[in-house]
Amino acid sequence: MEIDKSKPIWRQIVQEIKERISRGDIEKGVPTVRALAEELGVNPNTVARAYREMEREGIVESWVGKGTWVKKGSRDKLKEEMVDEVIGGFVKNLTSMGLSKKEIKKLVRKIDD
Amino acid sequence: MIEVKKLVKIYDDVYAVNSIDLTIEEGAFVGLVGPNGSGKTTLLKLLFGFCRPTSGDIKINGKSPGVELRSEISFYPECDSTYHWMKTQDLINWYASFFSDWNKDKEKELIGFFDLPRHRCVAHLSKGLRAKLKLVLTLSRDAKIFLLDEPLSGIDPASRANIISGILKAYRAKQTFIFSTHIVSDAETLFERTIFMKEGNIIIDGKSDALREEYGKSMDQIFKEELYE
Amino acid sequence: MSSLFKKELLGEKNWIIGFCGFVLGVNFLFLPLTKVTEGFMAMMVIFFTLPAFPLMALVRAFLIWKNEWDSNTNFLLLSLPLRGYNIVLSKIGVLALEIFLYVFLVFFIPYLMLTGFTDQFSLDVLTFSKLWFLTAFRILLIVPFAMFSYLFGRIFSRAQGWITAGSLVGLLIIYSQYLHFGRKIFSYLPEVSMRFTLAGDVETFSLNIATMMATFLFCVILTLASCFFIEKAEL
Repeated sequence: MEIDKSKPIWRQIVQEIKERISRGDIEKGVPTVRALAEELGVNPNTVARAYREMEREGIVESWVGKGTWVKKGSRDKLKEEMVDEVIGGFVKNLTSMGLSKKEIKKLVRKIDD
Repeated sequence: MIEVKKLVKIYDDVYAVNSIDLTIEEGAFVGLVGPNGSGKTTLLKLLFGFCRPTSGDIKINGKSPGVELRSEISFYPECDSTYHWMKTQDLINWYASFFSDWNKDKEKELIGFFDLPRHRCVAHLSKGLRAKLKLVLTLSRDAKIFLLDEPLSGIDPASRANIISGILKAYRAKQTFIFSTHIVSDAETLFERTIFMKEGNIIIDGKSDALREEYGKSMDQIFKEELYE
Repeated sequence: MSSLFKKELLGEKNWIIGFCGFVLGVNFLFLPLTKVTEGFMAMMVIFFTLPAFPLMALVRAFLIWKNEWDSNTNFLLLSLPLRGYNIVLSKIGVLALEIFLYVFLVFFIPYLMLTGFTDQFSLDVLTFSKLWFLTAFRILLIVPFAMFSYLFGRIFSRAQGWITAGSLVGLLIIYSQYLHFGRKIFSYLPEVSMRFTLAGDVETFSLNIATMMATFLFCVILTLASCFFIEKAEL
C-alpha cells in the first residue's frame, strides 16, 4: 500500500482495509494493530484510530485480547458501497458531458452486448 | 506527562529556546521538526536535565528534571557517545547493569534486527552501526519517556528505514516518544503529533493527520514550505 | 557502583601498562650502573621521577574528566541513574589506585636493588610502608583540586577554560590561607618517625602530618563539592 503523506493517514488505512475486505483478501480477522503498523511503517495509534472508525461504521468488531474481526455481511455491504460510489461518479461524469438519464440507460444496456 | 511553561534558554545572548509552553501526554509519539539551530536539541536536553533553563518551568510526572528522573527517561544523543575502546556487547552489558528497567528481550530483538556485531570493538563499527548501537542502549529499557535527538542524522537513506522500523518495534503503549529531526519525510508516518520549531519558537503544533487535512500537505512539505517563508 | 569503577579501571589500562613499563624499563636500563654504584644509582631514579608525580597527578585528574567531554561519552555517563558521588568517587578511586601503584614501583625496585647490592642499607617493612603510603597519599591530595576546578567550570555553558583556570588559582589562594589555622587544628597529632640505615649510619627522620591532615580535610570538602557540581553540569 502506498501512503500519501499529504493526506490523513488514518483515512487511507480505512480505505485500504475496506478494499481488502471487499476484494476478499481479508475474510475473518483484520491484521492486528501492531502488525499492520509495522507493515505500513506507521504509528500503531493511527491504525487504532482507523479501526475505531470502521467499528463505528459497523464494518468490523474489536474484542479485547481477541483482535479485530470483520462483521458478517460487511463484504457485501462494502462491495455495494463501492459499486454505488463508482456508479455515482460514472453517472455524474456522463451528465456533465451532457447526456440525459435516458441516454445513460441506453449506454448501460449496451454493456450486455 | 510533560509540562513546560514559559521555558527560556539563552546561550551567548541568543534565545535557543524562546518562551515555550508545551504539554505532552503519556503515550504520545511526537515529532519535533525544525532546521538545525531551531532549538530542538536544546529542548530535549532541558527535558532530560542535561542543561538548566534560564527561566521557566519543566515538570515531568510532577518532578523537575534531574538525577531521579534518569531512571524514567531515556535519552538518545545526536553525537557519538559510545566508549570506543569497549566491545559492543560489553558496552551494552555495562550500560544495562545500571538500569532496573532494562529489558533483555528488547535488547536481543534490537541487536538481531539491527544486525549488530556483538563482539566487535566499537571503534571498528561504521557510523551507521554505532548509531544503531546507541539506539539499542536507548531503547532496550522499559522507560516511560524516550527522547531521541536526530536518530536519522548521518545515516544513509538505505539504513533509515531499518532504524525507523526498529524504533517502531520498540514503541509500546503508554511510552512517550519525542523524536527530533530535520529529515522529515522518512519518519513522519510515526508521528501522531508534530511540533515545528524555528529559531527557538514553536511555529506549528498539532496532530499530524489534522495538519495534513488542514494544510493539504505532508509534514515534510509543511516543513519545507511553511518554515521558510 | 563497582561496574563503574571497573569501567574506569579498564579505560585506564593503557596508562597503567605504559607507566609501569616505563618505570621497570628505566630501572633495568640502569641496572649495570646500579650494580657498580652499589645501588645508589637507584636512588637517582627516585629523585628524578618522583618530583614529576604531583604535576602528573594534576594533569591526569583533569584529563580523566576532559576525555569524557572531548569524546562526548559524558552523554552516556551522565545519563546513568547515579548520583554524582558515584561517578566522582570511582574516578578518584582509579587515580588513587594508579598513584599508589606507581609510587610503590618507584620505591620498591630501587629498594630491592639497594638491599641486594649493598650491606650498608637497611629499611624495615614498616618504614617502607610508611614512606610509600605518605608519599602516595600526599600526591593523591592534588587530585581533588583539579577535579573541583574542572567540574566547577562545567556548570557554566561558556568560558569554561577561564573559569576552570580561575577557580584553580582561587582554590590555591584560599587553601594557603586556610593552612594557617588548619595546621593548628591538627597540631595535636603525633609526628610520624621513620628509621633506616644508609651508608652505615642510622638515619631517623620525622614527619609532621598536621599539614597533610589539614589538606585532607580541605580535599574532602572539595570532593563533596565536586559531587554536587557534576549533577549540575551543562552538557
